[in-house]
Amino acid sequence: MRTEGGVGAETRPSERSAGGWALEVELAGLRLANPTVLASGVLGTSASLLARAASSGAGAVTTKTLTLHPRRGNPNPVVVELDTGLLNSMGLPNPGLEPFLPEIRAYRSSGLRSPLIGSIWALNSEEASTMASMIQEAGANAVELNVSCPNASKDELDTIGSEQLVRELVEAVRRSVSVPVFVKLPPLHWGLTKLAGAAVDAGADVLVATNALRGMAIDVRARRPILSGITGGLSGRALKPVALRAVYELYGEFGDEIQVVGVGGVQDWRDAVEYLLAGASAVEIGTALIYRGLSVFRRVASGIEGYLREEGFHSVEEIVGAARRG
Amino acid sequence: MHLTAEVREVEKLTARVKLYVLELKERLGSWPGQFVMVWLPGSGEIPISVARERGREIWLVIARVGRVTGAIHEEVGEGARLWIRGPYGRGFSTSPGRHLLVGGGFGVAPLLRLADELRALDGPVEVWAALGFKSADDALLLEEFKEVVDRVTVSTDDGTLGEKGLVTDVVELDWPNVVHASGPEPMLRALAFSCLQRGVRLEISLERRMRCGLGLCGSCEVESTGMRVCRDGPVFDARLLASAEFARRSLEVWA
Ligand SMILES: Cc1cc2nc3c(=O)[nH]c(=O)nc-3n(C[C@H](O)[C@H](O)[C@H](O)COP(=O)(O)OP(=O)(O)OC[C@H]3O[C@@H](n4cnc5c(N)ncnc54)[C@H](O)[C@@H]3O)c2cc1C
Ligand SMILES: Cc1cc2nc3c(=O)[nH]c(=O)nc-3n(C[C@H](O)[C@H](O)[C@H](O)COP(=O)(O)O)c2cc1C
Repeated sequence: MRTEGGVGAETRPSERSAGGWALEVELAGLRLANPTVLASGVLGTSASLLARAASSGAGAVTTKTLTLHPRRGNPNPVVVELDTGLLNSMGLPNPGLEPFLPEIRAYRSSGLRSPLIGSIWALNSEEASTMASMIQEAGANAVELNVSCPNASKDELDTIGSEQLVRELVEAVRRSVSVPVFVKLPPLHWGLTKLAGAAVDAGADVLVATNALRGMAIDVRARRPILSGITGGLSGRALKPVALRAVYELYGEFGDEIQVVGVGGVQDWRDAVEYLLAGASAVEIGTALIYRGLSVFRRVASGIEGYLREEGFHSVEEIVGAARRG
Repeated sequence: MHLTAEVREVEKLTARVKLYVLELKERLGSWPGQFVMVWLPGSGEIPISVARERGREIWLVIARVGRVTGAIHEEVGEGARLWIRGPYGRGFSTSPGRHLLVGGGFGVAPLLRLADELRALDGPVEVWAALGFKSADDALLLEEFKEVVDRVTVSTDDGTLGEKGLVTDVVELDWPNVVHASGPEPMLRALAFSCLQRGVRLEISLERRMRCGLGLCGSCEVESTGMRVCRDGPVFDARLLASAEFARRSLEVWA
């Protein structure tokens, strides 16, 4: 099912750069000035930070994942920097959906054109449905259902990994909103295509692949795990080949019905182009902000544009999934 | 990953504040105003400013305010270890000229690191420090400041040491080219007001609850400014904050 833009979606004429290479992409009816998106959980904690990411060039921005009730998250240490990426065990800290809604309204009235994707975490259809309608009402241009937070409790993870529940949650969200529904998937799940299939059958418009991998680090001098949550989500460089494979598989399986967004370890245009070639219509960026700062969005976007020009393409769409067509 | 640091020395500076002298395996390479995340395994991880750096040695001045700082005060003695990561953040600017350092309470710590750096600059530099405390018992690092700056003035709220009054009431703002300040936020606000009125450049070091320290998680945003203490700060140009919620709230305080 493909929905039209929905509440406040951007509909403006296609913007082409001087040379005629269009960076603009369409994602489930939303228009993104370029295919870079701020990943959930990174700078998405307030209207002002979302606005800062958008004005730094993000084609769309995603809020921190919100829960119905406030969550404190885990105590420090909540991150470990590795050579190959980053471990985080934030534990979904957020003020709860309702107190966050003014931030969404404030972002939407800021005049910035990058669509806002509202990320939610819910463990039953009733909650999912309430949250999705509230977030749409506040002005979110899309709802992203996170069914893959690596820092949820073991019970939550056991629950959310089930196809049946994913189907119910997506159906509930689909029934409650007219804006596009994104579903954010885990990187490793033996039944990934089945899980994704359940989401697609239930009416998802976009599959986001992927969330962080579960991992851990131990300090050899302290002789104990560093993260207070013991395990955390591994993002950045190390995640890229895993998430890339997920995008490739999901595009192969569902590319005719829905769109895919690639997430994991995007630092430069080459990473982004790999995801596009694997079948992603856009890429999300999180961890790279540590190394590249907020300019990462503009730099990746202009790098993609340079690639299109060098290779003789005129739009991003032309290369989406090209690695499958060979 | 964290660096393991050996605690070489612990000195009680006041009833609430201790100095920790740490030795690292390699140089930290901090800039004045930067901070490190200090991890005490089993307890937690908190941001602390680097108060001095000499070779592989760093000084941390830690006030006991709660859970983690309490555990450090209780459990970490000479010969023990602390784990640190960093240095992080954007610090104070340093260029030749007349510098006034304004510190309140244990907020004076990062200003000592700045004083050291300014002292080592080539070119004409004059550095004054105006340090304010609640009472004589709370005064700290006075000898260290006297060794490196040209003039130190001390004030206490109750007049038990130096001039009586708030440091912001006794500072001389016509003299410096730039003012660097660190301390309680009401002090910083009052100073920002005076400096902005006179057109004096002011850099302030801010504190907020910090989690990742890497600029990702958003925890330490200065309300509604889009500015992160860990990455865009902790040292900010006071003008930058003048347009924001911070200033609005400050004006309410002054009104
Ligand atoms: C960039 C930076 C540099 C800092 N440098 C120093 C330093 O050099 N020396 C030093 O002693 N402290 C410094 N701090 C403050 C220090 O990090 C906090 O005091 C510490 O995190 C408190 O931890 P706790 O577990 O002991 O307190 P908690 O048990 O967590 O809290 C105790 C009380 O302190 C308040 N509090 C905790 N953290 C902060 C904070 N970041 N800002 C304001 N109030 C807070 C709480 O609201 C509570 O009332 C710095 C903070 C930042 C952000
Ligand atoms: C500090 C941090 C917090 C995160 N919080 C969330 C979150 O709340 N919800 C979510 O869906 N993903 C969250 N993620 C995962 C990212 O959105 C992204 O899927 C993952 O980090 C891989 O992308 P990257 O390598 O570009 O960071 C978080 C990642 C980091 C580093």
